[in-house]
Order: sequence, then C-alpha cells, then structure tokens
Amino acid sequence: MTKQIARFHFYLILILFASSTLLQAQQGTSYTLRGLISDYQTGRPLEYANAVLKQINSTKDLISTSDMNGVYEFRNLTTGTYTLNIRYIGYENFTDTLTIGGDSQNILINIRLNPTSQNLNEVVIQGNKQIDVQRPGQFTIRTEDFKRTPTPAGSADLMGYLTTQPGVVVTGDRGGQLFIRGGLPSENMVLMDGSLVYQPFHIIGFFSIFPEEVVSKADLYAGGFGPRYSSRTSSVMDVRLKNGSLYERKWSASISPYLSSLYYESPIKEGESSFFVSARGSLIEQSSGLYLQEKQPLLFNSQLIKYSNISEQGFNCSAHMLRTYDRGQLDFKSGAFYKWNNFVTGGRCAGVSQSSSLSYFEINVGISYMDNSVGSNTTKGRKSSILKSQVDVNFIQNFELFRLDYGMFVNFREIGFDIADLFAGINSGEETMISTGVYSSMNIPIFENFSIDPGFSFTTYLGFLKPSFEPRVQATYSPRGLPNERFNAAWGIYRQPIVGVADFRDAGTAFTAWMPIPDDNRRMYAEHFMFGWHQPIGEFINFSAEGYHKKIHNVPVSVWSSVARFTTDLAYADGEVYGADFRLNFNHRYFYGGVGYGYSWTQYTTAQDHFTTWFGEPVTEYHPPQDRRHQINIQTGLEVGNFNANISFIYGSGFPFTQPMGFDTFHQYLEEIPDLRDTHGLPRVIMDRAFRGRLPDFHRLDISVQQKFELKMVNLNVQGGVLNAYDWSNMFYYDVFTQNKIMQMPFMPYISLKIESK
Amino acid sequence: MKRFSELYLTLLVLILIAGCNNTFEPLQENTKYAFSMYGALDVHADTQWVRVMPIGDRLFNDDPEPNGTIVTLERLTTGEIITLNDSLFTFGGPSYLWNYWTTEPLAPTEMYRLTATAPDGRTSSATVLTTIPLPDPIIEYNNTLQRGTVDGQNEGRLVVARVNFYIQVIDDLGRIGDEYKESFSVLNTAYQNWNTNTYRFTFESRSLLTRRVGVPASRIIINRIFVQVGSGLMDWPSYSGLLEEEIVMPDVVTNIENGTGYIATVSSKTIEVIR
Repeated sequence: MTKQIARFHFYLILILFASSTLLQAQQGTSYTLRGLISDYQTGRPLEYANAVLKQINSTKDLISTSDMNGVYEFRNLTTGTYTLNIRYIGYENFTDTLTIGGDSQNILINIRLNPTSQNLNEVVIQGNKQIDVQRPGQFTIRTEDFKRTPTPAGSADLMGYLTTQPGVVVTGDRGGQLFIRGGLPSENMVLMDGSLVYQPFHIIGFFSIFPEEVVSKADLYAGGFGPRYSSRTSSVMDVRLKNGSLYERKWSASISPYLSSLYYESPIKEGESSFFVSARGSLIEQSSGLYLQEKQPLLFNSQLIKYSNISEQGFNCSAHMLRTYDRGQLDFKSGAFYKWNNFVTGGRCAGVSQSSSLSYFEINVGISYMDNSVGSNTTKGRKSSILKSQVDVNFIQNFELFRLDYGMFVNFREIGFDIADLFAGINSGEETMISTGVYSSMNIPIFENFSIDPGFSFTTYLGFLKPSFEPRVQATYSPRGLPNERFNAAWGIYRQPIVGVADFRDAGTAFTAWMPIPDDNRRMYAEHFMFGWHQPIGEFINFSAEGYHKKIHNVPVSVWSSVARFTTDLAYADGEVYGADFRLNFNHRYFYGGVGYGYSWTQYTTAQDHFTTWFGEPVTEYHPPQDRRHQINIQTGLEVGNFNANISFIYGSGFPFTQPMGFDTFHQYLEEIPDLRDTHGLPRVIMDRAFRGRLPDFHRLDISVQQKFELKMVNLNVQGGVLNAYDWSNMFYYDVFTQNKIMQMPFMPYISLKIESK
Repeated sequence: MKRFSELYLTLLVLILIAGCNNTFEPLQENTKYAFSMYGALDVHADTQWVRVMPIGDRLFNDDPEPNGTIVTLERLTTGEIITLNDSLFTFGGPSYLWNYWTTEPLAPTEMYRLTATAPDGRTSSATVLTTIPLPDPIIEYNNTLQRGTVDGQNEGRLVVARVNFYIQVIDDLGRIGDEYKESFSVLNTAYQNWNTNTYRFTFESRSLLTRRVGVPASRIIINRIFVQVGSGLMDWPSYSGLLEEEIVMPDVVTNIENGTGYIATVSSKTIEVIR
C-alpha cells in the first residue's frame, strides 16, 4: 500500500514539474523578481510584508506577500519599468523604480526595512493587523505574546507562555515535561534555528532555554505538521532565534528570587555581522531558604551564543552554541536527584540567489547532545545519553501551478543507556543509527481560495530499521479570500525511530531513557486528523477552534505490577486522543486578553501477558497520567506607557492516578517456609486497575505589575508579582507506593529588577 | 471593553467555584480484603507462627499500637478453638508487623481453620489440612569430598530441601569474619520415589559455597551444617507457569477467604549434619 502511495506521489510531482516547465517554456522570455525582506537592525526576515509591483503606464498592480522566510516573488514579468513598493506595519515604506530586462531572467532585490521612529526598539502590532496565515495545528508565538505572561524573572520566557495554552499540559511546576495533545514529552521535537534540542525546558517549570531576549518567534505545531518535520509523532516547536543588532550594542541584566540573567548583543562588522550571548542561572535553591517554608532543591543554568552574518546578496548565515545544566528533586523528600545536560551547536545558511531558479534554499548543520540521569546517594542511578548530528537541505521553488517544498537530510544518532533497575529485559547498551531521507510537499491552489498541500517524507535507516514512508496532506480554505479567515484540515502519518522510555506510572519523573525501538515490527507511529477554523471578529478580536483526533500505535509503556520497586518489563500500548482547542483573543494597544479552553480525551489500550489472570481479559484500556480532560486559561493585561500589569489564571482538571485498595506484605513459598520472625516480606500494593482515580483539579492565579523607569544612562524595569496568588494547594503527583502527596509551589511573591541599555 | 471585563470576571468566579471541589481520595474502597495472612502450620514445630495484618492504608505500618485483631485456630473435627498470642515485630525503620503464635500441638491430617477477626467484625480465614508426620532423614557426610547425602521416607510431597551453612570467611588480609548463615535450596536435585515413598538428595558444600560467597573454599570456615526437609500436601503453593507479575497478584496464589496471602501446612525437620 505504501509503495503505491509513494509511486503516486512520485508521478504526481513529475507531472506537475513537467507541466509547469512546459508552460514556462511556452511563454517565451519572462523575468522573475524576488528577494528577501528583512529588518534593517537585525536582518530578521519579515513575514507577511506586502510587496506591490506596478508597471509604469499600467493600471494593474501585482501583489506578493513575503513568506515565513521573508521571501517575496513576482513571476512572468515582461521587459519594462516598474515601481516596487514594500509595506510592513511598524516599518518605513520602501519604494524603488526598477527596469526589468536584459539577459538574466532572475532579478534579485533584497530589501531591509527600517523600523519607524516610534518603534525603533520594539515593533508591537495590535489587533488583526498582524497576519498569521498558519498551517493546520500551527500556533505562532511572538515575544510580545509571552511578555504578557507573569513570569517570576526579569525577562519573560517561552515556557511560561506555553503552559497557558490549551492543548499543552504540564504535570507540575517542576520537571520540564510537556505533553501536547495527549502525546508524551519524548514525542515532541524542539528545534532551535534548525538544531534539535532534546530537553529545552528547565527543571523549574516556568523557564526554558528561550527567554524573550533571544527569541524572534516560535511556531508550535501541535499536530498535523507537514513532511519537513519527521521522526516525531506528536508535535514540533520550531524556534527561530533573533539576530544580534547589526548597528547597536545592547545589554541587559536581571535578578529575581528565581534567577539571574545577563544578555549582550553587538555588531561585529557594522551592518554585516553581529552576535549575542545570553547566560542565566537559577537562584531559587538559595532564595527559597530565606523566605519560603520549604527549600526548593532545584537548580539550572544555561548559556547561549549566536553569531549571524547578513550579506547583501541575500545570503544569511548564522551559528549558535547552547549549553544547559539542570539538577533537582521533584519529590523533595525522596532523595532522588534528576540531572540533565544539553549541548547543542549548529549553523544555518539561508537565502535566495540570482543565479538559481530556486525561490529559497536553506542548509542546517547541527550537533545535539543530551544526557540525563536519576539517582541518589544510596541507589544505583539510571543514565541515558543521546547524540545526534544532522545535515538538512531545504528548497522552495515556485512554479506556475504550485509551490514545491522539498529537501533531504542525513542524521547520525548515538544512544547510550543504563536503566538496569528500571526495566528488566532492557538494561544497558549503546547503539548507533544512521538515517537519510527526502521530503516533498506541494502547495496547489485548486480554486481561488482553496489549496491543498500533499506531501510525504521518506526515510531510510541503512539497514538499522525498515524504511519509513509518511504521507501527509493539508488543506486550507479562505471563504472570502481574507488571509486570517480560514478553515484548515490535515491528515498525516508520523513515525518515530527512537523512543523515550519513561516510568510514567505516577507522572512524577523527569528521566527519559532514549533508545532505538526495541522491536522494528512495533515501531511507534501516529495518525493525525485535524480540522480548524480561524476567524477574526472585528478589528481586535480573533477566534480559533481546532479539533483533532490522533491514533498512536506502539507506545512503550511500563508493565503493570503491584510490587513497589519490582523491576518490570516494557509493554506496548495503542493510544487514541480526541480533543478540541478554542482560543478567543483580544488585542488592543493598551488592553489585551485571551480565553482558551482545551478539551482532550486520551486513552491507551494495552495487552500484557498477565492481564487475563489479573482482570479476566487480556486487554485493558486506561487513561494515562497526562490525560487532562479540561483546561481553561484566562489571561489579561494592561499596558499604558511604561507600565503594564498582567494576570494569568490556569485551570486544569485532575490527572489520572492509580488508586490502591490497600497494602500488605507478600511472602513466597518457593522451596522454603517463610520465616516470619526474620523477614519483613515484600511490600505490595493491592489494586484493582491502574489509573482509575483522579487527582484534584489544578488551578493557579499569577499576577504581575511592571514599571519601566527611563533613567539617564539605562532603563530600569521593576516587576512585582505573585505566583499562586490565593495559595491553592495544587498536587504535583501522588506516589502510589509511598503514599506521598508531592505538592506544587505555594503562594510565592517576588520582585524582579532588570536594567538594560537605552 | 466593559463587556469583556465582565466576561473575564464571570469566568474567573465560575472556575474558582468549580475548582473548590478539591477532595482527594487516595484509596479505593476495599470491601474485598480484610486481612493478609501468611505462614505454614507445622505438625513438628514447637510453636506455630503466622503473620496476620489488616490490609493497610499505607505501604509500611508505622503504628505500633495493637490493632485489636483476634486470631483463632479451630480444629474442625472437635470444635476446639485456640486463641493465638500476638507479638509485635519490627525490621528496621518504622515498619511494625504482627505475628501470632501458639505452643499448642497440632494433630496431623486434621482440618483446621485459622480465622482473623477485626474489632469491626470483618474476618478473613483459611481452612487447611495438616500434613502426615515426616520421619527423620538419614544424613551421611563425606568430609573428604565435603559431600552430603540425605535419604528419607515421605508420604507427602517434598516441598523443602535446604542446606543451611553457618560459616566464617577469611578476607584478603587473613582476618576471620563473623559467623553468618548461607542457605541453599537443593530441591531441584532431589529425587522422590512415589512407589516407595522415599526421597534422596545430595549436596556439595564446597561448590555451593564458593559460587555463592565468591572466594576459594580454603577461605571458608564451615562451623555447622543443617539440613531442612519439609513435606507438604499437593496444595502447597506452586508458581510454575506463572509470570512474575502474576505471582505477586493477591488473587493468584491464595487460600484466604476475604483476604490475601497463603496459609500452608507442612511437616518439617531440621537436623544438624554430624561431620
């Protein structure tokens, strides 16, 4: 079946390619004008800029909108004189007169727009003027969005914002584990300028490696994503780092009870190259001892540096390096410490070329390493590490009838794990895996306002695993041709060659053992169905709704056992997830707010050898620990001059947990008579079925107010706020074996100070 | 603008009210199991010991106070009832367990019912048939080969064949350590003749101990050797064909009504080997 689909795609591409080439050939000499539209200060591509081309003495305007890479393009131009006008909100208009003609059929004009004088520091777009032509499942996050979430630090953080979004579930305020639309953390892919980051979220649940200073924008694909992204079955978060300023030196430093941070950016060669460096370190371990009832043994630090170079030829290159360290206890009384390190380095070159008919190309090279461990002074630790090096090349080519995105990739992975006391049968090992593949997708306008994007990804593992073919299709319909008003649908197959095995029986874990799929015949894969509607209402309100259905196959899960610390084997489960996310956002210059509601229903079906004995049937269904059924997020804020205030309320229904009937101690009569005066026996949990109970609902109100003082030399930002404003006792998780209730952070006031260059 | 503020406020209030239902029931209602009962009634033992614990609400019982459980042993043919004495045991840490005992002799091949009754009237019980007495085995030990042979008569099923060594180990510096016990089951090497109701098994001290202790035999001082044999009935707990996960399930290997565990019966003898 998959062979037939692959053949169908191949022929489809061939026919479309041939027909478009034929059309071009028939039209005689024609010219293509294209280029990059970017921010003058940083070289950041400007997405959805409006380009209008008008031939002198003609009444007809040709219109193009820059894509996510900042590329605009006009095709089939004839010889003549034209005026080119570029507009983008918050920037000065660009107008130029061009003469098109000559030998070269490809004309390249790159444009760098200057921010308007009142927006030199920051471009904030209000209402529905910001166009977000998103793909199904895509949610674009800009720094101005996550600056509106109360964060107990001098700078806002992407993580704080993500946790307030419907469809995104965190099990608690520590551990750094994100479940997106029923998927496991190991099924999420996070890319930083094209390089994979295995664990981008810090052990303190409000922070990630992405503070506001370093992020240009982030695209969260909660499902239904296109074939460019492969090897994950749940979600993709593609984060683009900002570039350092090409003309100015800027710096900032901040401190709060949670963390301190330093940031510096500077041009290296004015107008051409720049860099930034960002360093953050947590302080909560020290500060909690001073003013909280309980010391919070949580620590992290991270350092990120990026170099970028902007060429006049429309060629942008950058290199980045990241290092992180996290250490801490999720259950402060247990003595088990979790630790992880990330090291990521990579580079990216992207742009347009006059000598090529390609509309855009991009090359990413990256090395990503992560190790994590859990252990205590008295127990043997578990360890896991993974190294991935990647090269991927991506192209975009516009044809007469369609747009073609395609590319290829080569990955090398080296995996090591030692989990002897966690899963019997899989103890320790080292594996290497090489994979290479291609992908392609086409954007084909069918009618004026309706387009489909069929595509596929094909990966071969050079004998390590069977090849993987993943067909995907997306469709978009804009009933009135308005870019922000649309219906989206998507379907796709997603496969994952490596699995992250975690002991999620009780949700309270931050350890993931990465390993190749134990059985190639049971490779993890998912099927996504999605349907969304995005509707602007008036000038300031946006509404969106998206329904989804995922079928997940061969999820590795723990074998159920009723004995504490009893080593277990791995089993497989099939999952089914239904849900819908709703968002209503109001965005005014001074007042903004949003309400989000997410409904999700996740169920796993697993067959384990002993289930017939246990339940009388070989297969059982259960709701896994991440099955949060209802989630409501309310955010609102006010921004007047240098003052802003933000409120965020999060509500989540309780997570499933295993409710024991009771406890006893177990003895065996295996070739011996139990000596009851000398032996304690094996502690045992007596339970009917796992995950039948529900933890209490979670809710928390966070408030912050911030005032910026413009001093002579620097700007000073003072923020005051509280987390968990009404001091609600939110449970993180319940340990079935020890009956410990592990609670989340209590009422937590904070003050943060941030000074920054003017 | 005002309308939206009102909307937010209303939603906030509604959610706060909804969220106030914060009851948490960590335990599922348990009407199925009252007590956990373990032990083997031994017709040759001076004292019968059984472990009887109410099904707890926590993994380790940290309460040393008496729980009011009455444990009785009833001989069904005569109606004679013995009330067992309680003894509190602890095994390090705050984990307290109750064992019950009696020095009353048990009659062989008799039906007995062991019953545990809670102060609220909930009971668990096990009805068992005691075993046929087991004659003393004949043990021969070759000191040169350090090999023992055990022969015996048994009308039941041989369920225990163990050798217990009390040894001291000489370390790398020539120091002699404290005496401790190493116990080995040799049941899988035992041969039982069902026609003659006899059994035989052998053991080799040197190979057993060197493999377990991990030092040469010259560094192991054997002070005493005991052989333990036990004869049970066909209902002696069997784990063959069961997965590890199945073995630990409360309803798989059990003969307790309204409870968990297993009360077995056995005729056992422990005899020191003369060398």
